[in-house]
Amino acid sequence: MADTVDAGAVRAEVESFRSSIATLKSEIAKTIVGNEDVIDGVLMCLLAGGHALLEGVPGLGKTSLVRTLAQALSLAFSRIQFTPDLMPADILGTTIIDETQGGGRVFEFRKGPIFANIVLADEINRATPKTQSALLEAMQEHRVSVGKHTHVLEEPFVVLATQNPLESEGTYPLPEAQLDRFFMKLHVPFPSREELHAILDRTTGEAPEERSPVLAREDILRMQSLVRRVPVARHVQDYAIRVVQATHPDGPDAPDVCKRFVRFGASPRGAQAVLLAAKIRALFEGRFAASIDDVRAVALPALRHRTLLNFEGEAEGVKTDQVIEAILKTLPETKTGAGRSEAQAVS
Amino acid sequence: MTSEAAAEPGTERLSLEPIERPAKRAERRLRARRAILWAAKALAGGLVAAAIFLTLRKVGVVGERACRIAIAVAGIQVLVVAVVAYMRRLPRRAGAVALDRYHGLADRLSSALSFGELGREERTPFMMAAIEDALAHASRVDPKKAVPMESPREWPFLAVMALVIAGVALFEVRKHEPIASAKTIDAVEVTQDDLDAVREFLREIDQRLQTDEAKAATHEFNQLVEDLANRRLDRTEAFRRMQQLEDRLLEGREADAKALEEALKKMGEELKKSELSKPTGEALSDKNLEAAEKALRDLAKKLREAQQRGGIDKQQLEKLREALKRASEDQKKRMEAIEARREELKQDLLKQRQKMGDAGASEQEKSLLQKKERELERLDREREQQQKAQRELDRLDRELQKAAEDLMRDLGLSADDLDNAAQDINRMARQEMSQEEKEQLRQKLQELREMLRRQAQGGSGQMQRLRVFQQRARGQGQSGQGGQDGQGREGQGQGQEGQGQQAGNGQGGQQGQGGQGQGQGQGGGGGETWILGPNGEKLLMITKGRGQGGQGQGGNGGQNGNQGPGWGTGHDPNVQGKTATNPKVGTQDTQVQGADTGQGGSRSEVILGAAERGFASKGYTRVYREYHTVAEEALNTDEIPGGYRFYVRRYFQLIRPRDPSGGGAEAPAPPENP
Repeated sequence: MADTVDAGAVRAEVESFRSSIATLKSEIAKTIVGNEDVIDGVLMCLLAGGHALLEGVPGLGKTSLVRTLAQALSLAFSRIQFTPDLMPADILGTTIIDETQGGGRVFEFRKGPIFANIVLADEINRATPKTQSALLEAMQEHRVSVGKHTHVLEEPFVVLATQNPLESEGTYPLPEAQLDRFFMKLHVPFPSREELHAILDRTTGEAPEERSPVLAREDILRMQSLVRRVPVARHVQDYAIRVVQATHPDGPDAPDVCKRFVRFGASPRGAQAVLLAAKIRALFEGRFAASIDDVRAVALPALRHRTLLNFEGEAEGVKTDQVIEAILKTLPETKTGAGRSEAQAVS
Repeated sequence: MTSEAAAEPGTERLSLEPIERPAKRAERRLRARRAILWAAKALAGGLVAAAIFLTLRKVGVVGERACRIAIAVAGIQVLVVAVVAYMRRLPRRAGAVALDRYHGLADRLSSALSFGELGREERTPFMMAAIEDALAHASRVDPKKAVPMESPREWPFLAVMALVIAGVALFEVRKHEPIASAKTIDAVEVTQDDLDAVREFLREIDQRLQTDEAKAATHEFNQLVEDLANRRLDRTEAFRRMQQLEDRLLEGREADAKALEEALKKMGEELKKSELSKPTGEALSDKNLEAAEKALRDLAKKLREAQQRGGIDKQQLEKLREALKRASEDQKKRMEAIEARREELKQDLLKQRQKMGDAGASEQEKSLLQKKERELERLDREREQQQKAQRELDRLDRELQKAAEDLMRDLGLSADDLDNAAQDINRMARQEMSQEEKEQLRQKLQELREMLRRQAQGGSGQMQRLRVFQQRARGQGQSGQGGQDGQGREGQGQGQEGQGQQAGNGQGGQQGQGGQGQGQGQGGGGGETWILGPNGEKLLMITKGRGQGGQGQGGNGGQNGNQGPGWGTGHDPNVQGKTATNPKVGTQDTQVQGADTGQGGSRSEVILGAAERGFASKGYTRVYREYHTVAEEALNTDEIPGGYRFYVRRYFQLIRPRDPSGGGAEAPAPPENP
């Protein structure tokens, strides 16, 4: 009976999750036209406690998307426009000497824009590596160390960075270590004709109304907790692992394109990202366990920035998306020898 | 469906039967599909192999057994591959995953099965919810649709290969049997002339044969000659057959002829001492068994008649009795003497050997010993011959002994005994005659064998010369170039013996021979001749080159165109008749048979003529017979050394008279006692 009750509660939680997500998407959709996949990716990052790197040419609504998301969620939002002269202190904050009412002087830490729930790092590749690396601790540890003090960032904490793939002059490509900190790398596509009609209709008329928050911080935290409880069957997890292994040129199931053009494959952090994203996707669809299809669906945004091409790949203009698509196309869903210990299903 | 309902009582496992059952079915179908696909590939390979082996079998490269084994292996490997494919392990949850894929269940079933394996304490509420969700979807899954049986991609190839195999199988199996080639033998060559001679001999001897055994031997000899004539025997086989025949002729020749003759001669000597049996004794001494038989029968008749008349001189009877008794005992005594002498020699030899063994032997003693040993061997042979003769003479001895004893008592019985003795002599005579015939056959066989042996030594050149000689001996010379000028002369004249022979296929070569011409004859040259028919009409008569022998060729009319070494190369200008002949006038042929007056040329002329024109004249036959008789007498009297007898006989065989008609040769009568 207890099982039945628990299962019912789960069903209710999942249903609530779906409802919340649907509400949030609906609210975002009032401002953002199209880009469902990007929105889903951003939400996955939010729910997984990860960070997203949005890549797209200017004017595609990246910043608008993030701002809208922040508006829809009653979370603290800050935006940092990355420029070459941006200093780490400009992001993290700085210690200043402040006079007290008694006339004394004390050192006071003035928090930087990183201290928010949603941080928009706009055009992150324009900042120097020094400044970019100032984000590393915050993104990984969700805390900031300044001087002798460590400041914990409030959960949820998500960095949504954008970068322009066209302009390379005066930019500093993100180092691999920092790229790996991003849960997903999302490509923002150019809108279709209909979407453009809608965008123009919305943006060239009366001033758009502000979005009202639909989810509170606690809701987000509860949803993040629910995501972690979604079980994954052994064979699904095995598939996710094999996908990640296949991104390595010397991996057992690596396709030829990978063997030829890839210098280094995804890290175990990539596998974690894939599996977490698969769970979130299962919840999005109201299911209680992640599936292989979920893994296949999230593999591209979760692994594309974690797969590094070699010189030949770069010279040939090969995209990492091509490599991952080749892996997904050739990799069998099930394989003999996998999932022997089904009892150790991931939960 | 709730988890409560699905849970099995007393266990911690959920009942996932609604999921497991279709999942297992799907898994079985997956195995079956895999088995079919793999088997199709294996079948394709097997069909290729079968087609190859079948083709190889049809062309005879591999045997039937190997082909069957290969096809069986090809069939078995398909089964093995199918079984292996079915039994081989599938990926875990393959059936459920297949169902999930087809029905778009997003791994609900496979995940539920995976979660279902966990214990209750390990199972989270999310897993329970996932299982219930899967159970809710399990009812609509269909393994048949999820795992359809695919037709192998190889089926067109399989169909084509099946047709190919069927086509190949329709061809007849080529059996590589060795071609039955006629065994060619290097047949022994015997000239026709020699064969004719042997045939003639056998024909003559066959007419004289009396015993079946001799006739059978002659028949076998005839068969041998025919096989030689038809070139059915190679040299080895020919000699083997001759040896076999000779062995057969020697079989049953138990009585040693000489020993028997000697015994009969001794008997005759004894019988000659009585006046009554003197004719018998003389006949036996002369080896004339027929006369001896007749004399004995006469004596028996005489004794019977004397008894009927009242008796016969007692003294003569006593002499006769003594003679008969001694005659019967003589052979026995002779045997006893040989036996005694043999025993004596044997004892001497034994002593001599012991002596030599004890004290050694000088050369002289050794020589003496060897001499005695040879004498002992001779006596052994003599004893054996005597024993054989004794067996033949036993009945005669007994009859003579009985006759002698009966003469003491009753003359009638004695006459019967003498009749019986006469019968015995008659039997021996017949046997002796058979032996003679067989001996003649054997002699001829040896001649034939010797002839073949020498011909083989002489080579083909000798055979060729022999053929030419024998052709000429028949008077059949080749038409030569000289015949070109020869006109179809027609001789006229009178002659005692004459024969003309025209040869040359109408080319005019004519040769003739004849004695002194008193006859009249004509030989027609080849060509066309106009003759008058019965009603006075003209008829065209085409004559062949071989003209009608100018019978009665007169005198020197037989001028012959000399025979050339080869065929003529030209034509008779009158090959179609003389232009001078007026066809409108016509001719009339008249044939006249020359009268044989018994006269002819001298012996030297005959021999000269035979040397030039062959051995086909009556005069030559007479001369040959005279010479041959002398030669046979010389051979029989051992005047000719053994090593030369063959040459003499062969010479006379070669120069024997031939049949003028060209048929079988007129063989000389075989010597009565070769």
